[in-house]
Amino acid sequence: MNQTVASYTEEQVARIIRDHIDQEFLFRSKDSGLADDDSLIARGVIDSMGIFRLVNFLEQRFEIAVSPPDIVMENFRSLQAIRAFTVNRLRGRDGQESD
Amino acid sequence: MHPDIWRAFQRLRTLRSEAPPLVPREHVEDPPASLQQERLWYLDQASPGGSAYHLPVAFRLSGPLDWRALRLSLEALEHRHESLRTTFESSRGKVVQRVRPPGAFVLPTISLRDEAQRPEQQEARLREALHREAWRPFDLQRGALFRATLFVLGARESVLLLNFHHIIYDGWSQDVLFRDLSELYTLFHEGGRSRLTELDVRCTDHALWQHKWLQGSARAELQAYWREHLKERLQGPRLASRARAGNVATQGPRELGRLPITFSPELSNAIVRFTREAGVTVYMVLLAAFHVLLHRHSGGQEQHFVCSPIANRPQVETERLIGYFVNLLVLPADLRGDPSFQQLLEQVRGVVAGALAHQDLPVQLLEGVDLGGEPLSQALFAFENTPRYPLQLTQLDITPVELEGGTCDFDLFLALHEEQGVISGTLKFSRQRFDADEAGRLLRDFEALLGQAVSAPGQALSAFLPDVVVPRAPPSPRPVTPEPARAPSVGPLVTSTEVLAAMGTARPEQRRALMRDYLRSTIIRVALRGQTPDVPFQSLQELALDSLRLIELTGRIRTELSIDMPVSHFFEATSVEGLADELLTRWLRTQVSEARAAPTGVRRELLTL
Repeated sequence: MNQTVASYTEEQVARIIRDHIDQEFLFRSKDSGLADDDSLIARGVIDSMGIFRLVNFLEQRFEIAVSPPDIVMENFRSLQAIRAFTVNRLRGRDGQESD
Repeated sequence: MHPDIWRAFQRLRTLRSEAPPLVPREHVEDPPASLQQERLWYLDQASPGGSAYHLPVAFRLSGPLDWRALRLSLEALEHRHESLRTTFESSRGKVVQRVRPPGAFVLPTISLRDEAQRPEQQEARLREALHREAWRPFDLQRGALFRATLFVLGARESVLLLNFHHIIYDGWSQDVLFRDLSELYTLFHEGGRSRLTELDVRCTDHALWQHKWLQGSARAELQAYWREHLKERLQGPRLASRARAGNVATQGPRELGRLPITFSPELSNAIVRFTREAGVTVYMVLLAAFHVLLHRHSGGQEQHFVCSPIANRPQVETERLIGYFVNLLVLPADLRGDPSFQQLLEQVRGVVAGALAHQDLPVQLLEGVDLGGEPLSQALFAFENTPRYPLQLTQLDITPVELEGGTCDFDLFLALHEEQGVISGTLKFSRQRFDADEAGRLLRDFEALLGQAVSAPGQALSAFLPDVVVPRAPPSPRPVTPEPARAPSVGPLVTSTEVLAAMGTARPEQRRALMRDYLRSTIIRVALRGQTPDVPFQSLQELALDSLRLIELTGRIRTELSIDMPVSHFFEATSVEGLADELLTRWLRTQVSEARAAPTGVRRELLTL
């Protein structure tokens, strides 16, 4: 989990995403108790338009590109899924830059 | 969530990926109003000084209030958000934004302290003062469109009223407002300076971006979608027996009534559980139930539409702005053949998914859609599930104060939200259409039918609310079927280019005739979609146009002729001839000033008129 991708450690990526969700989607529930693999959608944390806010955030914060086919349940199901997707895109970005 | 919804996200993403980037600009001469703002500006012009677009909010502050910190916070807020310093005016037929430079913020502070008074007398005075300030007209041209007033009730008790015109503010803005204000107050109270990070873009940047984007192929693509999906002639739900006039401008102000609703935790839970099993969102279940409610309370009307506001903050940078961005989605429902609730829900899912994907088209750009002369805002529905940010001011207990009074531009607006698993909200209604008992009945029926729907979704709609017996509403002023007899248009229509080209050299009498031809053909082209009425019309009122058509028509004429005629004049004109004459006078005036500004003699001949 301590691998560094595009100047972020995976831990940092996970922290940034969790903080964002806590702050933007859960800020009133003091103890969200949201586990890494909890379904954000089934728990109602993120509803239809929430996905878009999240995608916009990931693009801006990590400077990654999210293309239409990326917007699928598999990538946004849980905190874990979002982190895996983001790390994956960061790797892809790094790969492109070193070309 | 159902794959349809994910596909809608992908579609929206694809559409938006073609948009130009949102660029911050240093200075733009006459930045245009956004298309949403333009619509509100026209509506305001149609009934100036109305309070239907006021968005006041009031709080009781108990504890040691730091007046200085509060004033400084409001000042910093106004500095930060350009929209709070913006006014609107018409320049050469276009609606433009004027942003005044930041200055000192005056916080009017009104003392209602009087030791001799009994508490209930003071409360009565407070209510009266709040009412007066909340509904005091805004002037879109002169401003200010953001006002704050503090009413002092005692040493440790006051009420803060913040009031916005909708043209610079929306539901989302409230979260931004509360966040910024809470943070600013703490900072100033502790003797610090504003540490809020700079905003990347401004509302004027977004408006420019929107005009640029919706000029191109995106506009045609979005229009094609909506034309296809709203191709059947649409009707608003006819709930009350009183026939409505088609033209919003001819209606008096409608008094606003409000009723709160909170679902029991059991019902809230049942709804949330049901949405997961059914692969839909809470929004869709509540909307489907709202459709059923309207259906049953209109005596079984089988097709209608509901409008629903959507936040429309397409870029992450716009999320932190106070401003007016909301789009209205037109959501039709087809209840023919007595479908089950489940079937209706599937239909709603399709309609909503499609609307989400194509949400970026402002309603006045809908083309080729026949709304049957109906105002859009007969029945509105909103649902949100993002938690609301509370206003928090250091050391103060804050309780919201319910405001009374005001007017509205809709018949019915059901606004719900979900927080911590409980669904609650407000039913707002026009008192001209419903009394409080009727509105209360609607809410009770809504709750009852939702309970039934989530426990037995396979039941046909006719099994819902069996006790509601409403006679069918009388037909609309413009009958829906058969189509009103209109002959196809004959003869070439006069375009503005033709008129303006001919005007320059025409004699005064010819000019009058030209302008009349132009006006008639523009009315036919724009407002009647190319259909010449079978009976010649004398005035705009006779045509009973809906507000969108009127906006489009007056906007088109104002832009084509580059004149700044108040929109209200269009409504007030008693004859097409009279209106054409006024247009001519105003047009000539612009030519004269242009000729003066151009001493080389451009159109100098006009000066002799």
